[in-house]
Amino acid sequence: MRDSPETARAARGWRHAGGRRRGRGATAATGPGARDNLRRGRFFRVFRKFSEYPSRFLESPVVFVCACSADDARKGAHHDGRNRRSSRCGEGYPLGSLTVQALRGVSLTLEQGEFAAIAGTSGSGKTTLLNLIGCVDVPTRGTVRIDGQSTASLNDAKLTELRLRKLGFIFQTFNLIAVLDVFQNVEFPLLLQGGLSKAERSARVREMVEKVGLTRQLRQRPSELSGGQRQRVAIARALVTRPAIVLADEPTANLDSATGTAIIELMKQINADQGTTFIFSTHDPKVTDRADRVIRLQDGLIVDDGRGVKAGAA
Amino acid sequence: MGGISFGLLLRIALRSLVGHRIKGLIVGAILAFGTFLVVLGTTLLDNVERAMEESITGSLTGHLQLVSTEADDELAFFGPAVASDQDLASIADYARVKEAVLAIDNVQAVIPMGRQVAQGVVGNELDQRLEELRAAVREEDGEKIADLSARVQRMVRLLLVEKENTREIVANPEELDEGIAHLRRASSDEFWAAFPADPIGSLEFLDTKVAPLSSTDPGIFLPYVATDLHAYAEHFPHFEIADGEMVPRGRKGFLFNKTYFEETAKNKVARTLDTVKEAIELDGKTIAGDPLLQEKIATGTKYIRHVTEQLGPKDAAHVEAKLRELLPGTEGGLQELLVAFLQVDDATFAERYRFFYDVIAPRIRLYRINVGDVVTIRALSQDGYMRAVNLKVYGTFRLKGLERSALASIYNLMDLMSFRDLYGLMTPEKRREIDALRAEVGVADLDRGDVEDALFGGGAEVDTELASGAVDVDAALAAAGAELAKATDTFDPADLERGMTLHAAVVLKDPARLAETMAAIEQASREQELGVRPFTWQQVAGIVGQFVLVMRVVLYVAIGILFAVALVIINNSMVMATMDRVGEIGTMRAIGARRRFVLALFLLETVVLALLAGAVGSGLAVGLVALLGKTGIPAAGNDALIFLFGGPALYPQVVWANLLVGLLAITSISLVSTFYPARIAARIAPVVAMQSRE
Repeated sequence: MRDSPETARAARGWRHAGGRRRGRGATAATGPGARDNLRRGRFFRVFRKFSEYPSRFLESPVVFVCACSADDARKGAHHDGRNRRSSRCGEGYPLGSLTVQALRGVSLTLEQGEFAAIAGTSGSGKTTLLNLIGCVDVPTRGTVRIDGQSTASLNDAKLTELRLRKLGFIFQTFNLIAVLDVFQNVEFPLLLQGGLSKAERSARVREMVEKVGLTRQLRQRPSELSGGQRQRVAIARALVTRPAIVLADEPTANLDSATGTAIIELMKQINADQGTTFIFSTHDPKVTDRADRVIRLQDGLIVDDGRGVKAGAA
Repeated sequence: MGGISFGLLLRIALRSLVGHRIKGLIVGAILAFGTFLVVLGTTLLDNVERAMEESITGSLTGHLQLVSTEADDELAFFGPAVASDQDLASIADYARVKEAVLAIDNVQAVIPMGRQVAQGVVGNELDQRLEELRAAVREEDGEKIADLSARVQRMVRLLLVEKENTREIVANPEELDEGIAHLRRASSDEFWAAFPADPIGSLEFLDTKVAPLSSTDPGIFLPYVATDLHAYAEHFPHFEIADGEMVPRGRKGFLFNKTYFEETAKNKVARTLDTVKEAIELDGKTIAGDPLLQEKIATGTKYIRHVTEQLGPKDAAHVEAKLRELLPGTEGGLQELLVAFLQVDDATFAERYRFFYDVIAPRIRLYRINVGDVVTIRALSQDGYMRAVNLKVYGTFRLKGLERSALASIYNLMDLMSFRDLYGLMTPEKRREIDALRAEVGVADLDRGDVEDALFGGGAEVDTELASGAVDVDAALAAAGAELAKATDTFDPADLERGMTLHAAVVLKDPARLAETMAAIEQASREQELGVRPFTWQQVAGIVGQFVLVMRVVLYVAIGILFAVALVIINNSMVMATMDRVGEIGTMRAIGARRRFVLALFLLETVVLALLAGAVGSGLAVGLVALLGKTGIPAAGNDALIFLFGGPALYPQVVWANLLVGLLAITSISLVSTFYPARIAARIAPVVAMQSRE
């Protein structure tokens, strides 16, 4: 990955994230959540479990995204996840002195248990949308709600907690921790969560590894596995914490088509069995065919949200 | 995420270390070397310090030295200050001080001490022979008279040759003419033919006209420590009588340091051969391989006169014949034969050494002074007079383990009573006398130095006098002193306690409690107005005491530089490692690892690496120290090293505290150098995971 545009992108993302962090800090300092944070102090926050947040939105969608303008926000146009009248919404990031708007008008709601694909050409904003849903990024303008919780008011620690408890990630490049074996990679998020005994953890890990069919490779390192096997480990790792939502960024892009299909089948099966929400980005038509719902992005706009509403066209 | 599982952190840290082996090995090697250096260096220095402490405290100073609070100079046993006259005031009421200090719990003994640089007066060779001849004449021992006459004639002849040679090169030769005329007369056969007829008149001529022409013996430079000899012997474990006997209780007397005695009193040619033998046998050196030894041998040949001068005509002929047998084909007389004889190499050394002691040594005086002799010891006293005492040399002593250290062997021992005589206290009568002198000179404000000037006409002149050592006034003084000494060479041992001492050694029961005891003595001195101040052995050791400190500074600077380098290297390699692991860290962050987890992970990785490397480094150091503890680090005959090592070799012991210090130092250095890269790592945003490509 040296000298390639990807490196530059990684570096940019890094810097970009720094910029974002400061931006978020400013928001947190002025929003209602900030006072709350200050009052309770960092110490308290460490021990606060995500599960303790009041779930006032039990009936509401599991994901609500509205990346929209501040003007619209002031008009109070987007007080409810059901309201899809957004326009000129945006997620911008600074690229040099120029702010690029990756998402311009996106308003999207996903329900529990959906198996949704985000489709679109390169640069259409698929990854940015996934990043927003995955809480690894927050919008410059607009709102992202996960399980009813707006991400804008959360600091880094709380976002991390949210990712750990509610989300699972599957990456295009698998992103396994090279120094850990299969078992340890899958166990990793459980250890981060804490609270389970060694035996419980082991049982959960073995169950997931069995589900993805890698029981025999339990003690192998990622470098000893094929691409498909690695992605299976990643799926096991994403699911072992029993998250509400699993996000997958082009999960089949680095796999041959047969393996890719098998991976999608596996995800679909888990979706059917456990009701886990899957959101994945892809530009592979064979993969989109398997999705229950296909959200199509073009130039940062949703041209089709798979529910017959072409919001971005407005 | 309530708390991060330490087990997980440790596991990932360990796996990362294994995963990034090369980086770990390089950084680990630097850290291990750093720890090795810290542990080994500090351990060796601690050991040297311990050994040196043992050397110094066990042979000379005790653990503490008490000095009068009115002392102007600092007491220094070693270093350049030794030869100078230190103004230490004196402890006037020693008995009271001793009683008060002995009452302190940790004090084992208090031993009075005085210290001075004196001069041992020994008559020159011609003087001594003439003295023997006079005795033979008195006893009318014809055979002895004949033998001694021949010897003296021979010595005069050698002296004549020397003077004639001198005449060739000096600027004012005519000044020597009168002396040469006397020498011509004294070396002529006519003079000696007439000797039996008028032995007294001839001796008178030889004594007054010839003997003064002989180069005067410069005497022996005698630094000494005066003390309660029996208390000293009891409390200083290094002390041991080598030859002769201990000075009996209640007697005045002198003990030579064996090493010092050999060095100064022994015939120079014999001494040269001895040192070469020591270097070969004890240090495993060879003449061919050691330029210093070659130089020593070359210098030794210059002292041939010390042999030839002492051989009577018969002995000279015998030695010459034997030498000719040993060295066939050598041209010239005895002089040339001896020069050739002393050109030793590794092959001939053993044989010639034996020859010297079998053939030559029995025919010469091997020592200028012998055990049992009475020597005149002169020193400049505090009231400005030159004083002398005549003391019997009861024996020689050695400081066990330090025999070969010239540094540790500079002090001879004397009884305290004689010291009091020599040192000369400023009594009220003397004060009045000097005051009268002051008035006479007409200077109102004179310090002691000025008084000396007033008495002797200048300090420089006093020094010259001391160095040349043959002033008739002194000889007369010595003669008078000898009479006095005979009458007063005994004393009441209780008198040691009464009266003054210059300083006093304090021997402790537990040396580890030195600081505490020192404070107690200070307090006692204040409360009871003893007028003494305690100094540690390190303080009074002078420049030598500072040696370990200097070495420590050098070591710490070296370690500091090494650590600075390590800091940069570790920092750099950790930053590189962080760059390599951006994807991995981003993934961890995306999955739900918090910043502090990443921070902790990096720091822990470093700590683990530092501890592992530190364990290896300190393990090696401890192993090496343990090995050296068995084999010993040889001082290789080096004088300073023998002293520092407290013997011919240092047997270091492991100091476990240093191990801890080493580990702690290396761990903290690593942590400091990892902090910046760890912060960078912790700042990696989770979004990076989405962009990373394997």
